[in-house]
Amino acid sequence: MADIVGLVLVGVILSVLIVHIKEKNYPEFATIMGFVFVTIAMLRFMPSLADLVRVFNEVGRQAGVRSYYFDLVLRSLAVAYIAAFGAQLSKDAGEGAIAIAIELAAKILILALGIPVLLAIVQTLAEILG
Amino acid sequence: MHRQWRKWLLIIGMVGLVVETLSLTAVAAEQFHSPGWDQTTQANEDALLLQKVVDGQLGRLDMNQIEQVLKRLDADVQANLPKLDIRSMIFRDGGSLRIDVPRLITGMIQYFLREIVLNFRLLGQLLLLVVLCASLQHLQVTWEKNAMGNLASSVSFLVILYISLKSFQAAVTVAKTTIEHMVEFMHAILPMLTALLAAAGAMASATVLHPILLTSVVVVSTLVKTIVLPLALIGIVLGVVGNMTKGFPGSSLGDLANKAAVVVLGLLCTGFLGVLTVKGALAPLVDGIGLKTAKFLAGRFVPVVGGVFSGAVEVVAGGSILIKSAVGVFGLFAVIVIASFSLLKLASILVIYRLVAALAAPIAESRVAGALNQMAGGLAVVLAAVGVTAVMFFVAITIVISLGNVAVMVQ
Repeated sequence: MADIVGLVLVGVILSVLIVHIKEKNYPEFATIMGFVFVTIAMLRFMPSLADLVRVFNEVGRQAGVRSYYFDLVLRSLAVAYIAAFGAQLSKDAGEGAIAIAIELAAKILILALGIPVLLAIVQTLAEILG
Repeated sequence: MHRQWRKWLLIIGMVGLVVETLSLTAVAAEQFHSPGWDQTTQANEDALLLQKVVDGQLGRLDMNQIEQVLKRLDADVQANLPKLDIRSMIFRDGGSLRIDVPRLITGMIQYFLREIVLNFRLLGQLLLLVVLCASLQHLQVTWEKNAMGNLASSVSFLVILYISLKSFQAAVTVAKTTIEHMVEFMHAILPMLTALLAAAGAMASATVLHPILLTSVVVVSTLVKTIVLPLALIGIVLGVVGNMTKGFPGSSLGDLANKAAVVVLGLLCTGFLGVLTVKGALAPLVDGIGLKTAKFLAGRFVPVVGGVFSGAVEVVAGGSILIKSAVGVFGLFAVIVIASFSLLKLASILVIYRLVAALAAPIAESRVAGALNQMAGGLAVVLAAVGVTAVMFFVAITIVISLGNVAVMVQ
């Protein structure tokens, strides 16, 4: 509760500041401030996320899901989240091309993560038919 | 609605089968105790003669093949099969198969519950992944819709799909091996039954029916394995692929394949039963006349001992009928047990699929529930294929059992 209040306060103040800085023709500072805020916020809330993941992992282990699949799901989601932050920051800075590059890289990475499962599914389907 | 109907039909059919077997064992018992056998002048001597005849015939009967087939079955099935001891079935147990019905039913219920508990693992895994993916996706909804998020949730969908497909594959393997076991069993027991049919004086029935029975068993099992099961599997694969990609209308194609499988199964069943009933209805009358002639000839033309001999013909035929009924009842029972255990296994997986689909529908994307429902539908068709095959084999054995009795009754 207190955490989120602090985060929102800092976020709103920073947003106002960034608008102010942008008007004074220092857009690069605005981007850097945004980046720093996002990084600190992510790091600040990482322990809670880690708890969450640990709980999920624990339940998954009890249910007998192979940790490989769990890793896969979490990894692909993490790639999507991190890339989304980066792409949005780049977009705000006005660099659409970089944003697209980040998104593309993320998509390729996620696909690369998913390909083994996809192949396994196709193989299983072929075995069922065969 | 349609599937529901089919399922109920299957359940009613299985219950009917069990009841039928029990009444057939009663028939076998009656045959032995029926006054027909000891109405002759010396009842005791005849009983002894009958025992001798049965012993003699049993000594030459080759049970090896059946025993080998039975040995290859699963431990669960083997534990619930009665012992293949024809002699004690006929004489010691008063002409009945020593089946402990309550024990069998509790064994089946225990097996079903054990399978469900085993598959609870699967249920847990699927549900956990569904919940995890759904909750992570809800986090994502707060952002703008982006392609990466969709891709990431596709990965989790693929993982769910893979886990359920693996269990589905296991289920299909079970169905295939069950059909194979049943066919092997039929191949082992049918020649023996028809040989006994011939020994019981039903020569015409035996010569007419034997090739037809064997051919129809082979045709049915081959068609089930090469047309019905593949159609059901193609339906499932199409449905699963259709759910994987949004643009590809695989689900309706899959439904079509499933329906085709059901239609083929129905036609197969109708054809099989039709052929067997028509052929089975004609032959016995001819047999009865044949047996009567043999008795008459022996009685008239063999001097002095002719009368005894004509009685002996009847006793030998009676002994063969007893053995045939005993072997047949055992066969009926074996088919039921072999089929019902794997049906229970398939049913438990089906239940799990439906359960996960129902639970996943409100929390996860529609395609998770869609894919699981598709698999459940396909599994229902596979289940029906196994069940219908078992019913057809059951009917085939029943016809052979009833045939010889008609021949003796006609005289």
